[in-house]
Amino acid sequence: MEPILKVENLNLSYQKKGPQVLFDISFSVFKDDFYAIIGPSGAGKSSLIRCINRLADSNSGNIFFNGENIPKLGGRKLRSVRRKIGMIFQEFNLIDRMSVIDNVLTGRLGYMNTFASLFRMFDKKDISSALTLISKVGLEDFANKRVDQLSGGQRQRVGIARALMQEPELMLVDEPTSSLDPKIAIEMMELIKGIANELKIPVLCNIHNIDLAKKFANKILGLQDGKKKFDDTTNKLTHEVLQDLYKFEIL
Amino acid sequence: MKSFELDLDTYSQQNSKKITKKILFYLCLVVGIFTSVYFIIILDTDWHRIGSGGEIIKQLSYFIGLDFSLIKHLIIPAFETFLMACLGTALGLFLSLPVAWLGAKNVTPLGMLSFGFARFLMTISRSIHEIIWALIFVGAVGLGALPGILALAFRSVGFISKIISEAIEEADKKPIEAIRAAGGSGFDIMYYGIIPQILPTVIGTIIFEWDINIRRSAIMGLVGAGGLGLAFFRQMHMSNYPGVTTVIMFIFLLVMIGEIFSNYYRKKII
Repeated sequence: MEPILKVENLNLSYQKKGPQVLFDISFSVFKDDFYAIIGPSGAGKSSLIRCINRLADSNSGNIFFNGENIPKLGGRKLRSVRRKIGMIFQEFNLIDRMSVIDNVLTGRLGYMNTFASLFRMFDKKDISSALTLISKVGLEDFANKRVDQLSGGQRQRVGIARALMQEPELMLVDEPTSSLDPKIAIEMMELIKGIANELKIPVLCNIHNIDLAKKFANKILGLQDGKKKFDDTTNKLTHEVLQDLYKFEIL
Repeated sequence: MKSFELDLDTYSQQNSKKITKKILFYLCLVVGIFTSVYFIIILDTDWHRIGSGGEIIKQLSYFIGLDFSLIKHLIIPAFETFLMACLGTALGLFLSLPVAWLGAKNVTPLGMLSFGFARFLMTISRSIHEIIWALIFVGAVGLGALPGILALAFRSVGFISKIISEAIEEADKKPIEAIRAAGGSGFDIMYYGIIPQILPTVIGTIIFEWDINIRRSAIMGLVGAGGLGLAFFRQMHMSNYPGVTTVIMFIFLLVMIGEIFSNYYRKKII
């Protein structure tokens, strides 16, 4: 089976002479994967995810997605790849002064030309699918409410609906639960997992909570100081591996 | 290490130093005021024309009273003043948008070059007085309301664009990142990521500037740029002092209306 996403020998440092953040990372995500990236703080988990949709620019290496090598793309081509990759953020990254539905509709911007975007000419079809997604994430009673009036958990649900609005073929999820309390965190992971299963979207998820990673992911990538330390199915993640991965921290 | 101990003698010494400084300061102040008064008032005033104290009061009393026959001739200039302020502010906003875009560090396209250019335009706009701008445009396009509108617009650019570019610089990066990740263009980032964030600031600033522009447009007529200022100027020339007072009352009324409206709406937005 062909992987959806194939990362080869990825290297990253933010400044030319600055410290290197990622060293030679390679891995592949397949159609039915829920891939979790774990590791101590500062290991490069967020940077790795951001390289994939080019919110960060890698120095060398290949990222194949749908037959395109993402680091080589630019302009319109890059935008058309980005719109096929949904992203869910740690701090939700919503536009505060807009309503839930307007935020969800911004997920369509990658498909619209400037003229349509200027006059907010969203397709009828898009609007109705936005409403469907809003009720799928359980916010049907809040569709017209401004997002800055919602709770953290509700805001993350808006973020999820917005990512799905892109009709993604891959979901990047960056620490979806760090800004939420433990009970809501599990709810949120269940929601993401449920939707990913239902719509058959592979997920690449950064998460520092190991219990959540074990519970929801079928594959785990362990990062330490920008280097890949572990890459296997979840059942191979033993206590010894974890101790090695987090050698300076108390589990 | 420096010691913070204190005894009576050192404290008295310190204190007398302070007292000397204070006395010196007040002395300088008195001398300064006196010389200024001497040169610009005593030497510069035409004392023969002022005459006695009674004469001053008599002169001032000419301004008491209103010329009601003038009112119907002031309605159109008042309206003109009002429209001049509105159009001047609108044009000012329109001109401010590109300047604000160039002048915001995080979105300026050519780095220090475009940033510096925008800051230069902002300074020019603000450091030239509106009457000077009006004189320039009266020279360029002739008499009437148009030079007034242009003058107000050019005078407004500095303030409006500075506030907008600062708002752009302070905008939250997180929604911008989300729009980029969804495949949004540079335009989408500006339109959906930045503008909703800065809109309250922008609207508040425009209303504030509009309020100020009503005041400015009322005096534009002094240099021939139309409106109530022109009526004021004519009444002054005809030595119709109650007429002058009437025009001033009209200006006052207009400014009050502007202020009330501006206060009400700015509170509503913020």
